[in-house]
Amino acid sequence: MSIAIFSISGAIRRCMARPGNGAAWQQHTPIGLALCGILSVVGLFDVDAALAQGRGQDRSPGDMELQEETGFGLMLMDQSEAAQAWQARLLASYAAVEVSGAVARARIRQVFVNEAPAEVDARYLFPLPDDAAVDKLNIRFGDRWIEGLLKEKAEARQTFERARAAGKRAGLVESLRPNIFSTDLANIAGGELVSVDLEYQMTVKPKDGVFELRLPQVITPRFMPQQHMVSADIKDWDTLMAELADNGAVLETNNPNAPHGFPAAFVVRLKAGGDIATIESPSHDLTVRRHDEDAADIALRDRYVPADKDFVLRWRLRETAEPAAMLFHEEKSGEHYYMAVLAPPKAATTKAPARDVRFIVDTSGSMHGAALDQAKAALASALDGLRLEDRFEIIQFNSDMHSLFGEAVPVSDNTLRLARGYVANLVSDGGTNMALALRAALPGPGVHDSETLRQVVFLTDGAVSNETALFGMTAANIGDARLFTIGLGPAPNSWFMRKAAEAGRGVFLNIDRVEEAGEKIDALYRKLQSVQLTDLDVGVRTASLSGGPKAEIYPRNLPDLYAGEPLYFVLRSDVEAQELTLGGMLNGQAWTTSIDADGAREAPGLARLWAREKLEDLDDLRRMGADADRIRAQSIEIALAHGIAGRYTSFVAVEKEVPREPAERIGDGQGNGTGADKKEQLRKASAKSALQTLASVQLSGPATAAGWLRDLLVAIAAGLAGAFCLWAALRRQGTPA
Amino acid sequence: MTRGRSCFSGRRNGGRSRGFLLLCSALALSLTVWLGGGAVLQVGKAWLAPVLIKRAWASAVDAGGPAPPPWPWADTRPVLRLSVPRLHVERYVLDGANGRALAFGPVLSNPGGVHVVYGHRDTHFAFLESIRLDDRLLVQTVNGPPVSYRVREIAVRDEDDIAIVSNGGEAPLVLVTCYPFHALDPTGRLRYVLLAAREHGGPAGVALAR
Repeated sequence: MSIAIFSISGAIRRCMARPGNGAAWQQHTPIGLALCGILSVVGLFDVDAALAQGRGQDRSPGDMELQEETGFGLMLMDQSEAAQAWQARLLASYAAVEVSGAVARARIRQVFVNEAPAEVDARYLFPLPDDAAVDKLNIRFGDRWIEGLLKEKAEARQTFERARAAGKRAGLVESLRPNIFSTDLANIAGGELVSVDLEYQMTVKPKDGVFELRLPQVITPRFMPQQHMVSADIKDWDTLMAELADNGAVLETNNPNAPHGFPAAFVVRLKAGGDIATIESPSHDLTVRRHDEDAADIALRDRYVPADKDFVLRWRLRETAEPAAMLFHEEKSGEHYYMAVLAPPKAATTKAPARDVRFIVDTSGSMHGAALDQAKAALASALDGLRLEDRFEIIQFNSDMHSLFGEAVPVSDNTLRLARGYVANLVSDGGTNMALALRAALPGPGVHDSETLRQVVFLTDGAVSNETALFGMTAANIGDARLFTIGLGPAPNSWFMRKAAEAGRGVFLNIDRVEEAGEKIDALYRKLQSVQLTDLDVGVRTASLSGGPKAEIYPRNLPDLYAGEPLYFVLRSDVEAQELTLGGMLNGQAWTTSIDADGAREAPGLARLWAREKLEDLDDLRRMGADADRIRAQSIEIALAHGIAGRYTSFVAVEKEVPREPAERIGDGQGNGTGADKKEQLRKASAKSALQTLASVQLSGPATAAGWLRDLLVAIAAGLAGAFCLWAALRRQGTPA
Repeated sequence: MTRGRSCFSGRRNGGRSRGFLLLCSALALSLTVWLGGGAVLQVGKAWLAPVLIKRAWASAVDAGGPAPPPWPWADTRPVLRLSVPRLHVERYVLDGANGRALAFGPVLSNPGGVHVVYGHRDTHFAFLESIRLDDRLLVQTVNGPPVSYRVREIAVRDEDDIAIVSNGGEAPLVLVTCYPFHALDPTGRLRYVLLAAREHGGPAGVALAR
């Protein structure tokens, strides 16, 4: 019924280059279960009240339906058979986020109660935003708080296991994936309340002028209905904010509007950093109170909703004529951290320069079927979008490479006609020799052409295994061209294509269905045509005269700035900046600007965002073949220095002493009823609620290629060579000396 | 003299190079026999074994027990029948996640009840390339009725980067093979992962973790 984290350990790992990778996942097998969770946030949420409500009422069938919808759950991993009788229950969910410009800080509190009469261990998974930097953990068992400490992953796990074995209460928060975390809790006494408080930092980057804050509630993506209502005002907003403000955020469990079971609530305090034009949510009905042009408080209209879908909040700022720059700053341990979000002005008045577009289309065997149809549809739309002043070329590759014209040709009726015919007749077959085609389409090292804008549009499913070599080749030959990758087919190798586009300073887009090819290509074209800021470079100017500051900027390659896309970077400098200078080309003209660092808004936690980007960069290096041990050591150093959980670090909290009375804490301080009565009540209540399990299976399996084809080819080659040698030897024998 | 010497040396060189050529030829041809034989054996095993496996399955269906080993010295037995109606593909999935069994057919690994089937991309699981989202897969045990799954997700992942999350319900079916499908190198790190959920009674949410 319930599934824990486990691994399919590689019984056969013949083709695995690095055996033993799955080891970290190989614990946990038995899972009992039972339990419930309240996810809450903000201040001192009155969990006792929630608990009293939760166990005091019989659940209606409606509750169960709601619970089946949720993706958030808790599993117990209990020793005892008895625990099998207990079920998971999620009571409530509550999250608070403060947004300041492009930086957001979220506080979540997850409150659980052990409804079983015995001590149990628990484990649950929960999703966080993709770029969340978790930097704080506090766990409350009963009435005592334990602070979480960040440790190296294996050490944290050891500490936790030792505490568990010693009968101490302990908690462990690990990152399973960048966006999926797990919490382990050990030795929760029967009836005891456990609160797990997490805080994390994240960024909110605008896209096409729209900022989006997403708080994931479920790990699986879900269908989202159309636009939701935004009501003008909040009826009892003041109550809610007052509660949030003075730690008194009592979840009104008697609120008749609140769904029983596991109401979720979200509150967001938005300081947008500019005049807000609109606020909306595609996921939930909202109530919004605008304080000012640039600030608002946002809550759910119904205050409590089932935690069955991600909470999404979008807002848009009023557009300004000048590129608006948002700069944030934090000083930490003598280092200065900056984060900039630079929004370009809308639609440039100057005309975009003439383009030289090279289409590369993958016609290897793996493209057969849907992928090739998508490629054809995408190319057809792409050809329609060319302008008369542009030049273009189409290159296809499989085992070999073929170019339509041999060079970029001007757009004319004739060339377009030829191109359309060529595209319509593309057939997929053979291998994937990507390097030849890329090399032909890229200008080569150091080639610069100020007249035209060279754009390489690369349509493929990315079925390659020599990724690293291709990145290197792309970066070396990109010159001043830009590489745009378009992923096709049911399962494009999207990591490769995203990274290839980064190496080529372009963007990656994915076409899932042939019907949407035209629309996606149009969107890409709008981008291509509206390219505004290119060749961006960031400098740091300081007051000090001696030497330049040492600055480390992520992302490593600053992408071009297109209309609708902001420039985003995080920077660490060893000295305080007076201003940040940005240089580049604006529609082909040299362009510089500077951002006064004095005007930077202080953003505590910014250093962690920088560290998060740095860790991601290190992980990319690892995947590109950098020495794994060195990357690991560096990553641990960064993560520990900045106190964030990640691939190599976890938070662990252990109580100092073994509690005197480990069990019988149900209804602590309430004074009504005996422990036994309450246990009985709990048993009844929980038996009716639905079990929520959320399982994660980490696969690391055997070799799944027999490799006979390679053997056969080598055999044939050897056979031919042998036959030739034999023939030559015999011939020589026949020739008289 | 010069001519004679050159003749002499030519003859000697000719004799030596002839020997060398013969040696090369012998080496190359034995390499051919070794690798070619291996390749033929691999392919032969991959396509002949299912004939015996199918027979073992059929006898078990008649007899109503677990399938016997398909040949007397086999250390594996068929446990599932996997079929894709749209592609008219049928595969017998073997017990025991080890390299020997994998040569004869896809293998099942289901710790904790999640069904993960591994297969060679260049033999039994070559058909995965033709599977599309929403395709129907039928899975049947020897004595059970066919259970229907729908393909929910297809992705290419690094071998270290595959995790599946589900929020309960019946366990999903996961098919895994190496990727790219037509690469010559059998030791790549990429995997083609296909996630299918029970058509009825499946979990409300199941997905590959991003």
